[in-house]
Amino acid sequence: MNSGLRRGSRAVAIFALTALVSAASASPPVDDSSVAGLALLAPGAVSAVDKAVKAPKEEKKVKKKDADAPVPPGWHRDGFEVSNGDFKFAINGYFQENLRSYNWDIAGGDLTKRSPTHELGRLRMGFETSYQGWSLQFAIDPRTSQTYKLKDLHLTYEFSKKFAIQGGHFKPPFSVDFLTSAAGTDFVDRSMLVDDLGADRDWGGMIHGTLAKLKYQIGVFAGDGSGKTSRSETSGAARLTYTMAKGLVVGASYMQGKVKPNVSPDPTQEPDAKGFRGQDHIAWTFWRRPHVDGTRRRIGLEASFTRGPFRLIGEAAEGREQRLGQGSVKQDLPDSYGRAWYLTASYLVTGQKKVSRIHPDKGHFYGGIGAIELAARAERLRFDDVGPDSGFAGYGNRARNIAPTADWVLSLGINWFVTDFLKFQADAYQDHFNDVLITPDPPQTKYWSFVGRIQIAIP
Amino acid sequence: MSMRRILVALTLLVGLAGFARAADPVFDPLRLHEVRVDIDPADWAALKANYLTNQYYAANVTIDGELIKQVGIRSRGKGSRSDTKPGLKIDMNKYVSGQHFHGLKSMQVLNSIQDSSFLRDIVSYTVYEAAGIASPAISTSKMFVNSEYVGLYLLEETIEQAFLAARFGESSGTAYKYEYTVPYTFTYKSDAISDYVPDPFKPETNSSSFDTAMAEFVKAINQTPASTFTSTISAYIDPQKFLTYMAVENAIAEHDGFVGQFGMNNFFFYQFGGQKKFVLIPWDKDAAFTSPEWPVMQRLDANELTKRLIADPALKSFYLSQVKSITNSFVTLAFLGGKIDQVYAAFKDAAFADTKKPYGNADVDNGVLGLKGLIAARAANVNSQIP
Repeated sequence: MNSGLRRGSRAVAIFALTALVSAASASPPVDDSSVAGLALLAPGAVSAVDKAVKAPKEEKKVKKKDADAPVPPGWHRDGFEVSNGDFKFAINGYFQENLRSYNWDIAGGDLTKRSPTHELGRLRMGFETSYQGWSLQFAIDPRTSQTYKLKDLHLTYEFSKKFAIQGGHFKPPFSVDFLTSAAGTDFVDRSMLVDDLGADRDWGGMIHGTLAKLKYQIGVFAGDGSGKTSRSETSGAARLTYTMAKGLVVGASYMQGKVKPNVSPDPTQEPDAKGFRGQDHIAWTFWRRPHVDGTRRRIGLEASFTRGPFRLIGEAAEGREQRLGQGSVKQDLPDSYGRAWYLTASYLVTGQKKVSRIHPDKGHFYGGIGAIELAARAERLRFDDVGPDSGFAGYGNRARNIAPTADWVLSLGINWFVTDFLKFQADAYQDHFNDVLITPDPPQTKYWSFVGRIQIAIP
Repeated sequence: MSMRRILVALTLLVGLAGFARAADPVFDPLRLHEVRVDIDPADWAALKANYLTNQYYAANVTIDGELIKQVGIRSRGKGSRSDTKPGLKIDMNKYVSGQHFHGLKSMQVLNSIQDSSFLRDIVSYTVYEAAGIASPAISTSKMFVNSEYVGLYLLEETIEQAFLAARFGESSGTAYKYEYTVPYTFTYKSDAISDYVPDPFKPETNSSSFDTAMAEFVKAINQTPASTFTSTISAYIDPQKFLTYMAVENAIAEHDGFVGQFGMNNFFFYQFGGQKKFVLIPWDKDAAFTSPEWPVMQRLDANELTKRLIADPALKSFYLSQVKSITNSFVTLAFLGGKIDQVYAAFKDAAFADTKKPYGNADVDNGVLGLKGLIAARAANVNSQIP
């Protein structure tokens, strides 16, 4: 984490985003050919918020009427979106600051082995634009901790709802949790299934569409994470989801590619291993990356049930990797694998519908309390190799028989959507490691950690 | 009691303290210890096949009946690396965060393939300790791998925080291990620290926070005028302490040490925390006791630091008196003979049963006898060199 950027930019970012969002929230749709979205840092943004506080349901009714009414020609602005006919352009972005707390220590005192107590979680900025069937998305994260600052840069042409083609830098279609925006996750941290077995954005092409109740995404990518040292070679990915009934969706994902081992510039030193890593939500590593070479394959299943403010969602996945010639004398080793699942239940106690992005009916600054959501998640991630479990099982990353390890995590969280642009999250995690030796402070096997987040987003 | 007897008694006490200094019972040299390694046979075969690399393998290790799980072991050494009888480094917390054995994060397991007596390291460190030079603790041990006896080894303390804290009262500084690659004699290369660290001075403790003192030290060695040399260099070393170390090195006829035959080798420099001051720590002394006729000034003129120090007549006089004193007090059978016999009696059977050693059982006996003979003759020779 670059502390300079974190400290310096944070204040600026908070101020700018707050001002931007406030101004946008206060701005009714106007016919403004001056592309007003570019002049959003308007003085008086705070007073605009005050005005907006008094903009209750009546305004919504007006908006609904406006939506039904024919749109007059020329430029329009709605928040951070400007449009003219088929053309749309919108600025987007968000900022997340995480605060963590622990009531335990790391044996040996190396506190870099867990997440810092405060960190700039994300700083995303970008835009979306569309014209007729074309759309373009761009997003970067300029934090210096990001080795690959580009997040999204992709162009899509939608022939119809049934078929679209997309190319650029974006998320491969694997796991619904991964494909959910980081600004909209139920918890501060995604599941270990995604963080440890999942892929990351990469360059590629994809076709996608909706055929009745079936949604499909099929793509080919240059790898499975352009910023990752463990990146695979060219990989294929596909995801299908099927709506079985109202609110009930099931799906499956598959991704496969080749992994070539790193080469150390110094032949006397080991290269960095590229296998899957086992790391919990606070960055404690309980499974070291094994040395791998060959096919990396991911298989995932998902299901969700949503009814009003309630959602139950779960996934299970396996990531498996070949270890051809990765023994210490270049011998083939049995494949290694990680298996993970999670089950999350969430409930908006303030009654809003559970959708990908929660919109409080009456934000805190508008005389209400916003939206409050409770969430609970149980998950497990286990690693092992497929070889016979005979003889000494070791932790070495070229071991034939790698000692299996697992972490079981219970997460409890509360999310407060104060307004469309401001969200607070507070989570408690309990890790339960199955192997006392790979815990942060042996012989303790259960660890509580706490995390809070403030998120400011362009709505 | 005469003054001479009192001095001898005090000397013996100091020596015994040094011999029995081992902070941990596992380094008691008067007792034969036992190390058992439980490892995947394929990994053990790989370690032996890859004995020239530092690849780690996970293993469970039992030391004197005490189990330490999931340690990292790897082949170790320079010229002593072997695919038949590999020396090992045991890293207690390679895989398990914070794991240690009696406060030790790691331990060296020496194969002693270059010393048929198995005693040179033990005896050398005893002399260093007796002369007041902090040295690693060391003992002998039988080693078993997956229940198979693989030979007699030496267990040696690693120069790490626990050693530094115990011997110097603090461990916040940087211990530089001298890594021999090409002959080097402390000549000036440049002002850049990168010309000295990590090659040949490899930081082993606080390795991410070393400063530029080593480069300044080398510059001072090479560029300080003679008139101010001793006072200037005193900012980096204690000249008398340093020359005491050198006196031991030549008293024990070490041919692969600080003024070694092929340049500097086999030592650590510890830079105290928050200071620019360094102190020498001996390492790997299996090449000591080369000859009873070893010249007491051997190659001191071949190293920039020793050459300039002994150019000071007072320091040269101090050095020679130290060589004489140390040899007559500690490099004698009166001081070492009984202990050598006790240690040898403890490990002799294990050494004879060691089928992996690259020499025969007669060589072990002869090695011990030869060592004792050399020690017996050394003082007389030194006294003839330093009247």
